[in-house]
Amino acid sequence: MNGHKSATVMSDLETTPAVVAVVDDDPRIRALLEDELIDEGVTPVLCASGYEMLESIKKYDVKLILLDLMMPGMDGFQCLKELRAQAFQGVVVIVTALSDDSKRREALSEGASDYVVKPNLFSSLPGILDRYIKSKQ
Amino acid sequence: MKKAITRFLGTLQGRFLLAAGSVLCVGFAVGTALTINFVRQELFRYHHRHATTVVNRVARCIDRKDATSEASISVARKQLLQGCVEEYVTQSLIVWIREGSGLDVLPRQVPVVKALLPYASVPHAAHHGGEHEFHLEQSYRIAHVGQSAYLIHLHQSKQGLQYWTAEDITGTASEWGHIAVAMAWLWAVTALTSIIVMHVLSRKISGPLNRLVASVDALDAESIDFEPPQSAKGVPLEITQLTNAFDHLVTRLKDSLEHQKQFSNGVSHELRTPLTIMSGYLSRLSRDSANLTDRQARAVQSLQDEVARMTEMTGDLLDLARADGGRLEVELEKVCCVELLQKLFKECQSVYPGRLTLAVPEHKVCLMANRTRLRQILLGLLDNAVKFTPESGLIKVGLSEMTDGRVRVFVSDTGCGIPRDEILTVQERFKRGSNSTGVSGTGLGLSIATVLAKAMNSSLSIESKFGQGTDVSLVFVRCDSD
Repeated sequence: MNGHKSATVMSDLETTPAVVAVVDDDPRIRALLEDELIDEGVTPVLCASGYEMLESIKKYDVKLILLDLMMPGMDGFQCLKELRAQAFQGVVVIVTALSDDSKRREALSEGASDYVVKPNLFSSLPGILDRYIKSKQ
Repeated sequence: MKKAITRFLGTLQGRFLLAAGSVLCVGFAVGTALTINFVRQELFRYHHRHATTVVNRVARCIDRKDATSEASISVARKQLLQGCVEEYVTQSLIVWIREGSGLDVLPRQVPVVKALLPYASVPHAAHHGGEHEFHLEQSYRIAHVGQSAYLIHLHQSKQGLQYWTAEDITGTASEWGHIAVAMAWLWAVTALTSIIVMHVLSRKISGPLNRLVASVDALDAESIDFEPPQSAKGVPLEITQLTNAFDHLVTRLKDSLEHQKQFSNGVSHELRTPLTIMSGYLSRLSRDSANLTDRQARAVQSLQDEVARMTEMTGDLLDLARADGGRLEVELEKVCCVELLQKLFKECQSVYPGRLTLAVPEHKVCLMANRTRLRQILLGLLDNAVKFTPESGLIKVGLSEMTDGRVRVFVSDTGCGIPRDEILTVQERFKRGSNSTGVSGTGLGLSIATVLAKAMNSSLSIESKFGQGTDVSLVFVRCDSD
């Protein structure tokens, strides 16, 4: 859908530090968030798994990670543990379909800064970017 | 004390001990009494037979010596009777005769007979017996003279003579005493042994049951880990079977809850993800509405509304599923209710301009609730009120402070109201009032509000008059403002 744009983005990444990593195993969510983030004026890095996320934070200067919880292999909680172990300095916002308060508490205690339930994602995205990216630039 | 006894008798242990006590006190006591009475009767029969034998001999003696019958007593006659009596009397069996005139003919060699005379005056029933057709009286008359006991008999002859016998039963009475004491001791030992045995047995049953109850009490929906109580030696088989059955039940329940949890999480993910994607792209489309025709723009708006409705319904259904499984967590916090209501009112004013009024006090009022969930409930109630109240009607949202210190948060309207017999029904899932035809809604709003209220230690109550309006309120415990 956005192949050309993605290619442009990808080639830009080599010269421009990446800002926001989207970590979700669902390609539809990744594609939608990529478009939204570009419209919001930030540069997205797309990761289909926690492993790709760990590679990306080494390669690029990721300021914000939008992290899904339910992923095969390394799930969101394991990703949080790994980010903490690697002393990741950026902000992690959980983006998930799970609305359990217990999951929210667990994620926040593991180092996430915010917790957004997916249907509210696109209405919350501008606020998240303002709070964690744009206000700090 | 009475309550403690009643409570004890309601327990397994209490009932075992009561049963043991009843069997002993009633059964054993009755058995003992019957035994003693039987032995006593047998002894008395033996003495009856002995006394009758002696009386027959005395009577034959009198016949032989040709004594006259109903004539007035003469010295000679008295001597004749006395002679016959003294021929057969012994220290252990005393015989004397009473004539029809009431005169007693006593043996001279037995001085104690005079002491026995007062006992020879009580009338008895009689039965026929013996070769002289004596009326043998019931011999339950026992006379105690000094240390001795005598069994008094009366043998009434046809000729009108009363033959009284007094047999020394001191030894027999002593034996009765020994038997009674022995039976009493036996009763006491048996009672004590039974009580101890029943107590131990009942503890062997009630102990594991109490431990099972404690293990069950420790279960809750979040941590349904059942620790079966350790099987002590000597526990009845049925208790072990009950514990094992319960263990299996809890395992199945745990599995079921886990499946339910996984299902909820799976459903949550699989429904919410596509809704998110639809919502996202529709949002992007509506931002490009300048490039859409009016019809396309309306279609996009309609789709967005439906996605929003489905998103809300998905959330409600998942909350209800969690509540059913005891997993609905609502964290309580201090909520400044006045501030929340004021914010809500401001938001809703823009959506429903001119239709709402706010009724809150000037001062701060705080209560223990969950801000997000309370807001969710109030939004749902306001949405209902707007749907069922005409444009000219009034909708009020606010709080009132009750006299007992609690706080009532309410949404009231002057809408069409709910029929009286439907007030409880409309709180059930997917149920709507009969007057909701043509009004959009899923029928979940009040049921989710009820569940969320309960999770915040409150309850939802509805008062409504059909055709006049509805008041829906929640009551909370107030907490300090600072």
